[in-house]
Amino acid sequence: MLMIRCPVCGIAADETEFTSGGLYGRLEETENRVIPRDVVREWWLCARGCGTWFGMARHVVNQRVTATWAAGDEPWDGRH
Amino acid sequence: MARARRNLRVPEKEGSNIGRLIDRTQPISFTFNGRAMKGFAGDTVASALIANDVRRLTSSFKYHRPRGVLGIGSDDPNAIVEIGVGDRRTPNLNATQVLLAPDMRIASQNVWPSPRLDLGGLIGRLKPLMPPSFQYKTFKWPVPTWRVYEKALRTLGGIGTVPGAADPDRYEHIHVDADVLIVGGGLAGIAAAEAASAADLKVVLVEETHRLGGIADGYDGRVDGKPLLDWVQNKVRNLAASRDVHILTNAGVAGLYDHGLAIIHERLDPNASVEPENAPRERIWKLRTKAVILATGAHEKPLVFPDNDRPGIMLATAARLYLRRYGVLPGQRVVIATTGDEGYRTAADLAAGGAEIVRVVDLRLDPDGSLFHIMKARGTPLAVGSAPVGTTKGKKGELAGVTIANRLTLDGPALRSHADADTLLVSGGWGPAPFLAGHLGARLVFDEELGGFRPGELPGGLFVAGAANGKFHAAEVLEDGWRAGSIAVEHVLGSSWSSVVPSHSIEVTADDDAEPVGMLPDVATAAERATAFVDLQNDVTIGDLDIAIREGYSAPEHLKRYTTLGQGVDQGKLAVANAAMVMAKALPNATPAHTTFRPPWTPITFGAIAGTRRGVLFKPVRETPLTALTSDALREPLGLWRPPAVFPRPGESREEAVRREARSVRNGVGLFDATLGVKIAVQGPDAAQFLDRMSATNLADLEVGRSRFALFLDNDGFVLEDAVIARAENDRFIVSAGIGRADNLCAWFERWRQREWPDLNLFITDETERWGQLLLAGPRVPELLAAASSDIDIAGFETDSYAEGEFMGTTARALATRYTATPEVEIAVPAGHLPSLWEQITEAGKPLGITHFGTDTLHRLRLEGGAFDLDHETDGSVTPYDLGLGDLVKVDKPFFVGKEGLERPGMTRSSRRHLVGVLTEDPSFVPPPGAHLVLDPDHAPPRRVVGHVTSSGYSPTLRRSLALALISAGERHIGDRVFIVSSGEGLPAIISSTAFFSNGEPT
Repeated sequence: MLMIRCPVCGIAADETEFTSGGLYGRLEETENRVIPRDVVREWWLCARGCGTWFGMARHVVNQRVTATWAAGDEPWDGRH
Repeated sequence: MARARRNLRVPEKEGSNIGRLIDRTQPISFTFNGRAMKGFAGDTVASALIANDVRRLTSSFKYHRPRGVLGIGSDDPNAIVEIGVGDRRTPNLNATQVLLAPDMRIASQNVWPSPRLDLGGLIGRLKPLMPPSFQYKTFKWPVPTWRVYEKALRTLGGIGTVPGAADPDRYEHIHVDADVLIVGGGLAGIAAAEAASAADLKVVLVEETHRLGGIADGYDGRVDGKPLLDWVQNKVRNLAASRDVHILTNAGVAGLYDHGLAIIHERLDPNASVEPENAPRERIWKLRTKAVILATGAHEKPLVFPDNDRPGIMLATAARLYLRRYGVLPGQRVVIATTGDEGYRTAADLAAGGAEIVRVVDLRLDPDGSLFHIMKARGTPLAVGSAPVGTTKGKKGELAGVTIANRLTLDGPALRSHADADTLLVSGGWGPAPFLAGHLGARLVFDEELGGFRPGELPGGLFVAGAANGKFHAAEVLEDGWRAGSIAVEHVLGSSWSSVVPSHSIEVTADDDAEPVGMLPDVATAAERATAFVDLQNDVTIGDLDIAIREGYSAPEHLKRYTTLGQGVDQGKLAVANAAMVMAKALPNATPAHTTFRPPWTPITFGAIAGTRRGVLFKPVRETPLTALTSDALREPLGLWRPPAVFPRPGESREEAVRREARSVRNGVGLFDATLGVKIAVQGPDAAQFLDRMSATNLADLEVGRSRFALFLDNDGFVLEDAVIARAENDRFIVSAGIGRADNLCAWFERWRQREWPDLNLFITDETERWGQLLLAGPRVPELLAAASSDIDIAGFETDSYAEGEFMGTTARALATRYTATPEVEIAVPAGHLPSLWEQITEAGKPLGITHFGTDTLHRLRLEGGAFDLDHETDGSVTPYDLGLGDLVKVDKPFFVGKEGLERPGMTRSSRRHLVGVLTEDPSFVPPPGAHLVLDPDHAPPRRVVGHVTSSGYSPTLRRSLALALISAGERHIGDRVFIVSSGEGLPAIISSTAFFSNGEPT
């Protein structure tokens, strides 16, 4: 059960308060993309909070959330 | 006649540790299978039953073999009982974990009709006929007989009975954040908690029994000059007094999850009188921490040999603890079989407690530990280098004797000897129990020298300490606990933390290494392997594992499912290590592995899972402003809403009410609470462009004051939503859709606005609950509205008009539609004004015979109008063309959502199912929704199904049944005959258009 902090409204809550929405980017950019066993960038919706879609980088194996960003900001993986 | 029951409670002895947890001044009466028995305050159910000489506690799950208490913790596979009566009867409780309470009623499971006459026991004799997965192999054919098998199997199988009535107790959930979770309150857990609290971290220490200290009370010795037990108790007092440490007892960790979430199931002590009367019985803790330390200890491994499951066979350390804690002996004539020094420790205790030690069987060839030498010097009968290789049973299936063989000449019959005994205590050495780590994806590593699993690579934030980490001596355990606590502190603080490891002078006898053994005798026959149990709860023998391996199911996950190894209430806690050792021998080239450990690790009740979300709180009912004014309605569930379905008059059935209401609407005027209808405002300079991109229907040319029915498709081109879009102003649209769809539609809009077109300038606002709404339908609607005061020309309203203004003294929005093939006007007013408007219109409509109607009637009217309903006619695989609504798709738009998907060739294939009408030849027969349609009812099954009924109902206006159906190439078969399959019969019907009724006239 992930703990996610919405980068828009700042609320930190259980994964169940959010909705996942597939790979980050516009639809035509993300179709048929292979998901690596690594950090992936995804869309998440602050469904029970501010209602905003935002970007999140999550390691698909160890489930670590490495970065979040508001749509329109530069996406990143949380790596320096 | 039942044998006389012995009293196995040892008399009190001055100055001894024996029975230190019980209070002999407080006797407790209880019953077991209806028989009155006595125990003491402080007893567990298991210790009280042992004291009363209950050997056979239950029958095993598959073969109904008699079973008794084997262990002393949640790892015991046998001691599963039901406790309580009536609604408070709880099945599948582990007798070792439940404290005895006055007047407790305890019952065996898996015995039918009674434990003394367990007819299921006959099944045990059929064991050779029941190989692993026999149910899949045996009960397949012939198909109809499965029902017979199933009934019999369900009576004999299954574990426990479910109470018939609602649970009278209260349960709750609690969410807590802390820094460190420590699982297990033994020495390692205590040391880890000390370390973490020394750094001022917030610690939660969870212990599954009712007391801390683990099994330290099973050992003698001194720490810092104090007796071990006193030292531990002092530490526990200090921890309990610390404000940073929260101790939960009687609490099992059911599961560990990502990001430090633990689900903990706490059973509140029913004996505690301090709780208020309505206190919960159990609690679920949803605990988030930054670090988790597993100090979950180790399990003593049973030995695997033929007939190793009889009542009277117990783990050696468990027997010692029962004596020390509760003053009970497992029996009077005791054989002890051990692979290490624990057996000698138990032998010394039991001898002091008054039991006769018939023999200590040491599986090692040359034991040399100090405990061995002490017992040898005392003259205890020893059999070194020997092993138990069989048991004999008494009249009730209980243990009567042990066959012992020299391990060097295993099959030499001359070297086998027999010892009469009522008890056999076994110790196969300790297997670490870090299994909860598996919940976070860790793979444990099998250590052949230890004969158990050690934690391998662990995920970040998870640490293992003490016996769970393969450290067994008190000194090592304390040091390892402190070490794990310190690393956890550094993990939480994100910086190094210098802590001085407390130095203790520890004088506790160290054990020689135990020898890991697998199946005994070392060279066993197939017959011997077939009765050597490795998983007692699921009745899995070594022979079963052999069969599974032979049949190709040797991978752990396959083996588990094929044999049921490791399933059930105990999750195979005692079976994991032994099965791995046996597998290691059977498959020398494979590395023994465990199956995926999944929650719940310890059982968790449904009551606790539900918590307070039951009854009215399960799904709180949402109400419209008209709920109080429509109290005469029969309601139907719709999400969290309960809209009126019909308004039945006294003596009227639901169907009769629908027909009366529908007739009244057709002949005059009806009034419906349409508040749940979606009202979404889309506004801004780019609102028109946004909606035009979202909808397959052309909306760009929609004029202000007009509305249009529009379809919304998903990416694949299938119908997702439908709505009426009204243009209120040039830059403001009102989207109205069916009841209860607001959340979905709004979320769909927002997804595209935010993610795909952030450059568009508009806002989307769900106004559904701000506006109360009425629907007026029927030919006399214009007449009714003509008399109403309004600045909207509402009486002359044409279909598809939209207007905002004043209506009967309040701000209003009005929309004219025509789904029910009769004039309709929707009037929305601010929600608070709705009740008075409802009353005024009801009053004004009286001369016209106005009728209130509900959703049942609305569906019937829409069916008459041939209008599709998303919930019935579409299922995510229906295109606009399938619905006959191709006109609503503006194919020459450059883009709309789903356009690309809809243009795929298969989407217009002529054989796709089309929405058509179905008119039964018998007009009174209403085909059930979902009924299949076939062309040839006389064809032997399987018959080709050409479609199915999606909605149906009797039309009082047309005096016949109507149905909508999706039929393959239906549009080309209008006028053809189909057969509706209902109750095995094929009933004839004619395919028709969906326009059953238009302009108030039947078509």
